[in-house]
Amino acid sequence: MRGNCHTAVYQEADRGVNMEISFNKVSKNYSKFKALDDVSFNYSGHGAIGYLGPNGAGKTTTLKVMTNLLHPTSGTAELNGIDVNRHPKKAMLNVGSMIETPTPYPFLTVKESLQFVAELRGIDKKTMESRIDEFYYALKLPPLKSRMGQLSKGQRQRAVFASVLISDPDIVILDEPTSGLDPFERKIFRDFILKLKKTKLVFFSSHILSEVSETCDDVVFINHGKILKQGKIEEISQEFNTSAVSVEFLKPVDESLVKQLETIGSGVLKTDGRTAVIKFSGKESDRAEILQDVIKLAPVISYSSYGSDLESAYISILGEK
Amino acid sequence: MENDSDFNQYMISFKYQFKSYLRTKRFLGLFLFTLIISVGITALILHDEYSMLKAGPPLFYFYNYLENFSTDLVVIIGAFFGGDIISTDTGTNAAYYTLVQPVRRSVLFLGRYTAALVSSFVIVFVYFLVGIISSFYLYGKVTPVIFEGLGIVVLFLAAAISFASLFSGIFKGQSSGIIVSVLLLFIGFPIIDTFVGTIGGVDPLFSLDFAGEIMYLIFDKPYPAAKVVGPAGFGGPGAAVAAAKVSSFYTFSPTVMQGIGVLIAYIVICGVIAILLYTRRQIEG
Repeated sequence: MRGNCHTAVYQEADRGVNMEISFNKVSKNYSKFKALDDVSFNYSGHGAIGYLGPNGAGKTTTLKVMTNLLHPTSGTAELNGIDVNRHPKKAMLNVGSMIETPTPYPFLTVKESLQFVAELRGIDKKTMESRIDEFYYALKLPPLKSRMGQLSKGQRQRAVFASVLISDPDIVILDEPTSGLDPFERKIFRDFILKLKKTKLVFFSSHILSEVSETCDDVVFINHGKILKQGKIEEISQEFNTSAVSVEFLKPVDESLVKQLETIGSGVLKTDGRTAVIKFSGKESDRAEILQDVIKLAPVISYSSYGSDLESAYISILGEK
Repeated sequence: MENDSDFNQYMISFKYQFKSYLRTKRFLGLFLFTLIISVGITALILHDEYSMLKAGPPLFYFYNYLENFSTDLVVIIGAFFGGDIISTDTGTNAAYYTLVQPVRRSVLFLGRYTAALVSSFVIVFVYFLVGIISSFYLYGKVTPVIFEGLGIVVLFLAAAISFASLFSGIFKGQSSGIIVSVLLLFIGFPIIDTFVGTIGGVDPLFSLDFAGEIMYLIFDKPYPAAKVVGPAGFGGPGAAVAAAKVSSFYTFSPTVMQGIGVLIAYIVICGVIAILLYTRRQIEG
């Protein structure tokens, strides 16, 4: 199934770069339990793909099959056209990945952990040193002489992320990279993903919808081991938009204002303090009309879609299954 | 040579694993343990048998010194270093760091195996070093057979690590492989050797501990006979009952070639199975 390539594909053939992740009818069974059921997708060129699903949906299993940590029961997983389970060394050469919460050798220092990966990947010493310097500042790494076993989860996660990027791979696979991190650390990761996706293919799973909507071009929904929906974020958001807007007024919403708001759009969904949520048809023209109408009634501080569109899509797609 | 060739990656795996081992409490602990044991045994031997040893050749001293604890020491250290070669990945989240790299698992394994061998040899060498120093103290010289002994130690350690690595591939937890290996090598094999060899009268050539005895037997001149049959019973009423059931006790000694052959067989067979387990192991989480 190669028809699911995201539309904002920027083929990199002109600079000799090959970026392609392809899953062909992959199933993974644990005894009678089907962790993955006929999963297929194909993405090529640079960009970011968000992989969404609730706990136990099959996200990590997918990424483990993608990185040869698990063998599929049937089907094939290919990275740059190479079957990752049959030729893992060749397939993983141009791929950096961070699955679960990796724990490098606890007695090695941060620098040694980065050197270990860089040397395994055949990076020359000069390049290696300059990249370590670069990531030390960009990812705000802990002191390079500190031992991995002494780091906090966030520090270790950043150090491992640096090791993922040290060979400048064209494909980056991340499994909930910001899970359990503080907002400051999340921002570092988010900014890096935004930067990486300009030149690389980034495939990452996440629970954090705002993060996915901010960073990704495409999104794949999975639940019970099955792909339920995939496509461009805008198109999916459009399909599952919330058909409600949230209006924040300067003063609290009183009964008389509610009566007036009932005549706008499809009526008031709810009110809370200074905020009123108004239903409408979902058409963009109606959304603009509502704004014009509410401004006439009382001073407005903010006007926005009620709930994230991706959130609506998530709930609609995954909630009903 | 390509930067990411198997040989280069083997050397990288060895280098970083060795660095890591040198900093572990396991290495420091076993190093100190060996130092204390070797000094203690030396002090006891010199205190009890000084005149007899002084009158004999350096070879005799080494036989006495190594016979005491050396095989136990080798199997314990081999088990500690080999017992988690594979489970260090599968029992922790290290797999997500190491196994996603473009490197064959067999290459990673061999690098770690070599690091375990070198680390454990450093520790066992301490035991030999104390013996060498004592030999200089007693005789002003050391027997050249010590080099053969050290060669056999390398083989014996390699075999013990191979054997333990097999269990590190079978068990998921890091400590399980170590514990099972220590129990089998330190307690299991000696018990089996006693029943099969000493009582049963069958040459226990299958036993790793038995084969490893050539490490100190080479210091015995003349080299002991392959099989000695003696009367059963050591005195006392219990022994008399046992003697009635078991007419003879047997003492087997492996020849050097037999010992080397068995050690190499352990290295190859256990090592190959361990590599197969490692390459096929899935990281289920």
